[in-house]
Amino acid sequence: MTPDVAEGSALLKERVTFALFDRAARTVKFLLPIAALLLVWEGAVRAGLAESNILPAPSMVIARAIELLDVTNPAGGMLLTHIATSLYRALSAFAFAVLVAIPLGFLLGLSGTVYRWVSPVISLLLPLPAVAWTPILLVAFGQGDVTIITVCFLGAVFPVLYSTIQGVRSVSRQSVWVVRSMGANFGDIFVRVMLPATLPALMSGLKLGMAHAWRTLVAAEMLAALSSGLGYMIFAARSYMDVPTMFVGIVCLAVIGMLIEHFLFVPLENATTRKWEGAIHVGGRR
Amino acid sequence: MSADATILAPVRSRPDIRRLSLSIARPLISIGTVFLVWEVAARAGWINAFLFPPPSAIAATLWQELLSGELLQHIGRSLYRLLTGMALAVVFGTLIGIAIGMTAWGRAIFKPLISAFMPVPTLAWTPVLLLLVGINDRTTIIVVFIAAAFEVIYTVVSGIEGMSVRLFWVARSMGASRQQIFWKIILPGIMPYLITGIRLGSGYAWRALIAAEMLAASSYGLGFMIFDASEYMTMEVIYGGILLIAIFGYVIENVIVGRLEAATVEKWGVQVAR
Amino acid sequence: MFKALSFVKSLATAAGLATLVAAGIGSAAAADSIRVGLQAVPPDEVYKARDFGAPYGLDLELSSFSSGSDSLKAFLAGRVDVANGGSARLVTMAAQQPDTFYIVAANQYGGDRYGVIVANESTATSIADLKGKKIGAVTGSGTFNTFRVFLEQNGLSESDFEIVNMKVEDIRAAVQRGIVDAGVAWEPHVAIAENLGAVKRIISMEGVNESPNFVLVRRSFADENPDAVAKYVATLIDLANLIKTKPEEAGQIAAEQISQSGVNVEPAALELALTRIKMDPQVTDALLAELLPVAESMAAAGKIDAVPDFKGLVRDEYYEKARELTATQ
Repeated sequence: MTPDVAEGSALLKERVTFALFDRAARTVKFLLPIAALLLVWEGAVRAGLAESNILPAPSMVIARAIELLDVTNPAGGMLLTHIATSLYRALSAFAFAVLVAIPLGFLLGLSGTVYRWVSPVISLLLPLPAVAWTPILLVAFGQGDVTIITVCFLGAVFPVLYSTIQGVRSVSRQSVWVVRSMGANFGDIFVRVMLPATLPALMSGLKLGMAHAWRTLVAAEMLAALSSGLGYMIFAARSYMDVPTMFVGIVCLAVIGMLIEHFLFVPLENATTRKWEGAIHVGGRR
Repeated sequence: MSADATILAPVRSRPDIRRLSLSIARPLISIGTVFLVWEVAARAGWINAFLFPPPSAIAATLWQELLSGELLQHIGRSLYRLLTGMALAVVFGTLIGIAIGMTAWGRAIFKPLISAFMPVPTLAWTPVLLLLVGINDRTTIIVVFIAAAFEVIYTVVSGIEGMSVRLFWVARSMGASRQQIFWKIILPGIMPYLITGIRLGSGYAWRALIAAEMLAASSYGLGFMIFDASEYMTMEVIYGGILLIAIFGYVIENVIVGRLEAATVEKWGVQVAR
Repeated sequence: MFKALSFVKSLATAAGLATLVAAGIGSAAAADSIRVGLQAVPPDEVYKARDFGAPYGLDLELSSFSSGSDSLKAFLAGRVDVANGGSARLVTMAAQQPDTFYIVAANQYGGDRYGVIVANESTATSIADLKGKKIGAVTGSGTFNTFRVFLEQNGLSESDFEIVNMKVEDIRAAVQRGIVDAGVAWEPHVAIAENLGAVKRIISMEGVNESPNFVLVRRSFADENPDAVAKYVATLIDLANLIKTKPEEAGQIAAEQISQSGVNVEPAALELALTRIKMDPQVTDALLAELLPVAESMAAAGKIDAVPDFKGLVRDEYYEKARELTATQ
């Protein structure tokens, strides 16, 4: 080993540790305000400002969560089942929404005639809270995953559809003309012009769609109570006044929602839209 | 982007009567078809007419409720809650959005809190609100505020981030003060984004309001009307309420705020791609 | 996971069939089966926990609904064969869809399952003490109807109080926080709140009226499967007996069933709730008669066109047959 290589690898090592350290520091910084809030909450309950059987302290919620995760307990491991069921429903609803909304969005964005005929019906359906569909779907499909997934689908599909249409319509005609005048066929235009130009809007649509699917899920699971899912757990805990379990459910929803955004969409966004966006922005990289 | 806006904006120089009447007739025809199919299906007995009453029966029930004055009370209360909550959301959402977009401490404090709170469902707020404000109109107003504020913050932040740094360099090199930069550059710069945020936010807030009126404590309001009707199983009122929610939601988001947005696009020549 | 579930289900069905054959009751080719709509209330939790159909060779397909209204909608849509209904909802259905269902049994009833709760430190002991105060209640519910009858019997009316409409799940916290001075709620909410030590019950609606729920069966199903309906009513008799004779055990069973979903509830609270709910399935004239004032006030308010004939909807023969079935058990 020459000294040069040794020095280089040391430098590399240093750089890697620095990157790790930087990342850890950023995570700590991110969690700091949340931790502060939890402390205030804990203090408020301990000081008797809030009754623990209405708003339990974070420590009580964590203790209950550990109980629910403990597999040796009779009710243990139940939390994981609820989470798995909810994730399965939300993700499949989201997948269906993407499969339907993106092609439909391109169709509506590209064809003025279709847009003018279909958009009135869509804009009438858009303001309806997805929850309002639940009673109707319960009648149509009965109790079951089909109803819940359909409600979540309705929650997710409109933001994705809306953003896709917006994205497609914001593509400048000049760039299409320019590329066409250079002899590009429709496929080229789609892949090289439409898709990159639509991506930023599409990404925010997907993000919103997933967030909506997740939020709608809870309400749907509450109304179409089966026997599993986080929404069902919150519903049952609420009806039997098991307040700590109810908050375990709520915290799980928030944490999983956050994790989905951080581990699914941030990397996806970095890989797609940042590539095309100019680097000079006030906020810089988020 | 300003170039796209001018290209995509409809040519309004000659108001063509035929075109105008067509743009009104189209939605009527397409929505009318849906109702017609529903009406026929219910009358012909293809669907259970008790569970899915025909639109004509729904309209008749709504008319009765309107004459009795009940309906106006429900609508009025819902709109009052929406407007108050929205006003709060615009003020606080803009301030927090600017804090996140412009200052390091704002980013450090609010970003984590926002990403932690955004996925929390409306219903989860009710125990907290019960502790803080009790049970009355304030509960639903705060729910509206929460639903709309996230959207306003989000768009304001992306508005600031989308601004070119060069603008600041230029302004600063010409000796502009911090205040001048705020009033002359930032505020006009985020205006179109803010209005888009209000439009989207009003949509979410409307949905959240209805859900809150259904799930949380309330009396009066369209969501409450639906909930109350399901206690009595009066299906016409349930569907009538759903229809009104759809219509009002459409009018608020697309006609009222939508016009405002179109006006700003015309004035500033900017279109927000969201 | 779902495959595994359906496998377990088919295994269970196979096992059920096997016991049938072994017991020698399986003279009919296939076991009777019935689809039942349930809710998250203690008697239904007990019902879910034990296979009450097994002694009669009845396959029970249970679905849980989050509200009575959803369960009835599913019933009308033909998604379940039996469901519970009472008070205003039953009146609407009887007025608008009288040809679709029979009333075959009574379900939960009894005024004791409704109560008025106040904060622990409250000095109020009677309804008169609460005059002019804020009362949290679910307006439009059967509980509120009974409460109004109770007020009338005590020479009071709604206008003597400030009624605050809220969800039943919020009433306990609102009373505890002093947002309202008292709350009117139904079981198990009253018993669980008392058990938490958060509030005390000062008034029971015992003796005010029975505010009954009834078991409804779709006509098309009952006409084709009279045996299944009779067997189902027999399981209700068994359930009622269990709850009446061994409330402690029933409370334990319900608490265990609820804990399956990860929710903690004190068996003692459920036991208390169950002792306040009457469960005898026999439909009596007195119970039916309670629907009339509800229907009359709804007709007066224009919510229904005319007072329906409730007696014409009742079919006693299933209950009679069920009594025979339980006797031979």
